[in-house]
Amino acid sequence: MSDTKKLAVIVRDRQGEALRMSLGLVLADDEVTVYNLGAPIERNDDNNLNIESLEMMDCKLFSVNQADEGFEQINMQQVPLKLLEYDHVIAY
Amino acid sequence: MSKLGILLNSDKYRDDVVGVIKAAKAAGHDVDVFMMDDGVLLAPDVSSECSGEAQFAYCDHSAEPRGVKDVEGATAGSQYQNAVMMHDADKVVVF
Repeated sequence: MSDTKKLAVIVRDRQGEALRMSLGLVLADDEVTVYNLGAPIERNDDNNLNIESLEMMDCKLFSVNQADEGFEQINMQQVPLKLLEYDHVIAY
Repeated sequence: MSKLGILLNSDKYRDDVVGVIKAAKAAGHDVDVFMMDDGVLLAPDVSSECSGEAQFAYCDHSAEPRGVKDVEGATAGSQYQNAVMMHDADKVVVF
């Protein structure tokens, strides 16, 4: 495959599936960025593993919640400006 | 010809999904559909009604606990199919 695409995943209420899908999206060698706009990510084995794997794959993680360790903080006013950078924005 | 990708992660919008698939196909576009999470519950119905109008794949990890299997006209796969769809699509719609 060629021509890397930039994909943004917006995490809302189904955190586990959103993170699982985000990790899966790197399989086509695209650039994946995760934005958590909902509640702080619930820390459980699955979510921790997915977050750790996303970090290993050089995916960027942003959150509006200070409680989200490993995520770069962002405020809601910055989010729409960032989203303009992406080929696809996937709200989950 | 453009390619439309449809990510179906909910079972709430069956008629909308069918309508978009048929309209896109009628307009001459290719359509890829990937179903996961509760979206797999619509796999048998949508793939049957839109047979020949789109390529369908679903996440087996989501399908198995929901009792969905062996959907005619759809490929049982993994998140790889979703990644390829996102990569190849010119536009993506999420339902």
